[in-house]
Amino acid sequence: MSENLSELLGRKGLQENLFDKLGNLAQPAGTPDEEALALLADEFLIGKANTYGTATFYDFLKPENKGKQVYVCNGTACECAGTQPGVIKELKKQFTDDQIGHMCCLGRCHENSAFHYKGHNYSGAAIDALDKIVSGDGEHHGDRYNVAASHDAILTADFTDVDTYYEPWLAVLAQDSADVLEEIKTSNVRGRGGAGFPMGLKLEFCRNAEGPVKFIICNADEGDPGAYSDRYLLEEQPHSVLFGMLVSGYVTGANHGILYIRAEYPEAVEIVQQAIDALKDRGLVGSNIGNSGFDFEFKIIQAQGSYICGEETALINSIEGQRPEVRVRPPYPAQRGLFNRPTVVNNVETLAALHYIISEGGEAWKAIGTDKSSGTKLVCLDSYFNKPGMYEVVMGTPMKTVIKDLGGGFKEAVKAVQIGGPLGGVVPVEKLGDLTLDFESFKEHGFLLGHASVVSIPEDYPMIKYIEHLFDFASYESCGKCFPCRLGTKRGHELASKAIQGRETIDRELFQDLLTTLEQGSLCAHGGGIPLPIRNIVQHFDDELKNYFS
Amino acid sequence: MKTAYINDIAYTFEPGETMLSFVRRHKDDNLVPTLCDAPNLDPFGACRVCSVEVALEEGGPVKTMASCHTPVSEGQYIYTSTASVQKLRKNIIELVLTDHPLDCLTCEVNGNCELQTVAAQVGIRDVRYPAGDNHLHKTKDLSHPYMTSDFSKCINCYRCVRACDEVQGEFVLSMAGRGFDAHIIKGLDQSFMDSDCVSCGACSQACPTSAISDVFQSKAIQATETTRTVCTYCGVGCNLDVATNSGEILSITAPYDAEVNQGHTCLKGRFAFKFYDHPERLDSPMIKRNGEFEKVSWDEAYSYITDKFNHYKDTYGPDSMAGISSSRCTNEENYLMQKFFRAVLQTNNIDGCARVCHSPTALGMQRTFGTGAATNSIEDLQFTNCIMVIGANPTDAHPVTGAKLKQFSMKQDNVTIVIDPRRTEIARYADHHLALRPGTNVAVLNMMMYYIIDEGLVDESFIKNRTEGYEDFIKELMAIDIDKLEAVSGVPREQVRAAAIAYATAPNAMSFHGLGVTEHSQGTFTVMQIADLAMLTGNIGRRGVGVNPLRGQNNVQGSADMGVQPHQGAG
Repeated sequence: MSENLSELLGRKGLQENLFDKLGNLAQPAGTPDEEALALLADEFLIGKANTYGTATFYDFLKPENKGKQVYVCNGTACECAGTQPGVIKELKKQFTDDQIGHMCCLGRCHENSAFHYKGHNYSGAAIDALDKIVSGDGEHHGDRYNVAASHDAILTADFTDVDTYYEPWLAVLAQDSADVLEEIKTSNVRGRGGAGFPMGLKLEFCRNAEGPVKFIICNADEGDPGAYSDRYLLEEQPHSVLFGMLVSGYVTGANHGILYIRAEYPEAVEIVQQAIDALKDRGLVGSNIGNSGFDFEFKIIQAQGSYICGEETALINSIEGQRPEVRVRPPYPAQRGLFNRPTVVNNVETLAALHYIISEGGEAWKAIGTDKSSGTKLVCLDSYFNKPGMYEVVMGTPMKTVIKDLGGGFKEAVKAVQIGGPLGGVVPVEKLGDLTLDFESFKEHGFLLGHASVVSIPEDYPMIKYIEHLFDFASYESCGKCFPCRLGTKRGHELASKAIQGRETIDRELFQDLLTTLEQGSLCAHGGGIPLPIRNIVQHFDDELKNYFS
Repeated sequence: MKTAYINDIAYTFEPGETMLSFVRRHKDDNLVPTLCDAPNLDPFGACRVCSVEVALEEGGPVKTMASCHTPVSEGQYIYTSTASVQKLRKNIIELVLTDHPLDCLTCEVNGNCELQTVAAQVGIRDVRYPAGDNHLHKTKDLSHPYMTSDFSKCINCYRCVRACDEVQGEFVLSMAGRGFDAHIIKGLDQSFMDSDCVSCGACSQACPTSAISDVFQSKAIQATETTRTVCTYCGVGCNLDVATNSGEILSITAPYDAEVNQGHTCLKGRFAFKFYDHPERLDSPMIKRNGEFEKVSWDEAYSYITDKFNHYKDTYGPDSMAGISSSRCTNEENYLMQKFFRAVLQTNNIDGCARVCHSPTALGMQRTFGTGAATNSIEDLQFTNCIMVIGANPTDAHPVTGAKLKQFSMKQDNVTIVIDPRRTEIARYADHHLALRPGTNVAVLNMMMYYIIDEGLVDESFIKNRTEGYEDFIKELMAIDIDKLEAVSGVPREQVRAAAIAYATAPNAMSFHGLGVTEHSQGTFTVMQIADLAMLTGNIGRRGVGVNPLRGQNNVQGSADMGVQPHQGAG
């Protein structure tokens, strides 16, 4: 946000990182003390207000986090499954109210009852063994989910071994980087984070930007409640992500790769670090890799609890140690990103696609899926499915196939699903048959593919409550920079709450004005995107909702 | 020239120009309202009130875009006032008013509040939302002698935060919390008094409401007259708008259209004006009799002066008298003073305050360049890659120029060299800080020149075409004893060498010096060395390169130009 702060915070390089230091200082108390914030400000030549302002932004740095011991997932899937009041009741037997916080979400949407304790996530039946977890004996992490592919597995293919897996990387280093870029462009692989921007073009913009220092960032801040495909890749296929970053670095001339991983995924941080260490041991990263003259180093940054950090400019601010408020564009990150240097930010799943593209060729990837949506896509199904899990699906596959053949259909009566996270569309079950899983089909029908997570809304879950939940989430996670989102999501939440309490019905015209203001006026897709699912609900569930409106 | 359309009429735009600037340049300033935009701040995109509709063809499908940060493209059709954007603006302002006290009539900025103006412009008549959470309970901060805040009036436009960062470079203000709870803080959420605020007032001037203001209520509109003048404190020369009522000063603001200070000034320029109407100021001439000053008439005072001057002139000769004129006075006053001494009293014994500050600069630069004045405008900072600040603490002594130097030194790709015993504010940000022993400027500058020659970094063509006496100079210089100079100055030679290389290899380098150079017995020679350093590296005679004394009082250059010095007359 601030050009000066980006400059000052970039002076010490990546290894001496303000955001890292803030995270360390928050341990073990839960929040850094003010004296430490003042000293950090002095060290980085910035204001005390800056370190304080950053610390107070994040769930796991802010003063209110002091003394928190255990965190309950309040993501959409756990909310709809209705498991969390029971979890909280159990936790209260061991912890005081002040010691219990929230995390959103832990990516355990397949079995719910999720909570976080001392750097580990638990879900499913784990809460029944809380005594053992707290006393430290016994591993009860839960976390069992199906993994399968609709066709030949690509992203979910079995990992061979490091040496074999990185043979194509050594081959890339022997090629002209322009040819490698051409291969990626040929594949027409589009960003999996939600926007669907062609990856090749993004890399090309950064490649063409001038500057001796460039960065590749892996956006592993998978905050969408309902999504755990990035978690799967980070925990089960970490090398696919690292490989993608190495190739992106080579193509753009960037020598630094940063993985920004959510604090809610502590296991992923450990596993990815082990994978990086394995590459270091083999000389596949570092200086002059394979005598190619190319240098590349990785750094993991652990996030501190903020959904908006999934927005790429907020993420860049976050890594710098600034408040993660969304930046205006232009300049685009490819021109001026991290520390004001050319930067590419790609989603975990997008990066993971490069191994196949490099090994098998861009044409091979392009041949999979539809014309405009090439390749495969990971889809997460929640606990309302008979076979909850993470499925690799060829783009263009009918949603019916995904729901019935892969997911085994619903366990209980479900009236709608929200696909693509909190900003994705809410699709009534009877409309699912119209959709195929690709960017175009969703857009055409007024929905959004997003990150393709599927959260089920059961028959008995009131839609007005769902609207309240969405506004609550949007308001809680708004960075607060732009007026429409900061104020509009709050007022939307209040309107829905008052309607639920029966205190006041919602004025239809005002509600439409509010949604339009958010949609047209917001600075980023957070405020701009939240009206979509709400409009879907208002349109498709008018009968259920009409008493709440006037 | 490229063309785009505003409401279907073609106009030309500059490359990279934002839609807002494009519209404002060709149309009425108020056609597109804004709240978070300010003339001296970067586009920020928070309020979204500047939204316009944009089509790729006349009447084609439109997209809503914030005009303040979206660049114009060739052939675009920008619609500033469609029913849809007007409604959007109105709906945004309605949201703002759900969290703003509606006490306009008693608010200090009534009539000069940007929120009030925009609300009127978009036609707000009521707020339809039911009462909800708000920040109206926030209390005022009256802790500080100048600055005040009332965050119940804050609309979270960040203009104060950005002014503190982009203009003053102080980082006292930021936001804390997030979303609806985001709120402005000073330091660690302290009061103005307890924070590191330097009272420059940039935030209060930037604030579109009365959320941040000052004890003089500078944004209030009681004044009957506003007068543009130049600040009488330091040599920066800030333009000021002085608001008065019946001749009494109410407040001072910095005009955005002033080339020197672009809407900024320091705490002295902005707040230190109470002396003007102070009751203890002299209001008549006085003569000391029997150890006491007595008020007298002007006639009596003049006849007393005439008698005394004539007496001393007749008895002891003209040179028995001397005059000292002040650089706080105007050119006219200074000219008359020296003229009176030279033509009437017939003596050259006239001098000014430059004698104890920058006369070594005048002489040193005259000897090397032919004239004793700064070679650049401060605007040239935009065209330089390296600054060398020697014997000066500009953030304290020349705050507005100091703030600009600080802005320069914060950027990673710029090079900043500070030669000063003190760790000044600029030194904190500098790439090279040569913390020499006081009084050893000559030693350090000689070492720098030695290393520039030794490293082969001399601009040979400049030396050949533009200088004289180089052979003798180099002979003397290369004979210096580095061991001795290193010991005398206390600066490790490698540090000096690195700074010398940085200065010499920068495409453009400017130097700034202050009294830490001139107020030494060897001041004149040090100035000559600074000039030599510039000539040696070809850093003189272009935009973005040069030698710049940071002079003390507001008209010190003028007083010298007017002849307030014994050795040289006017002109």
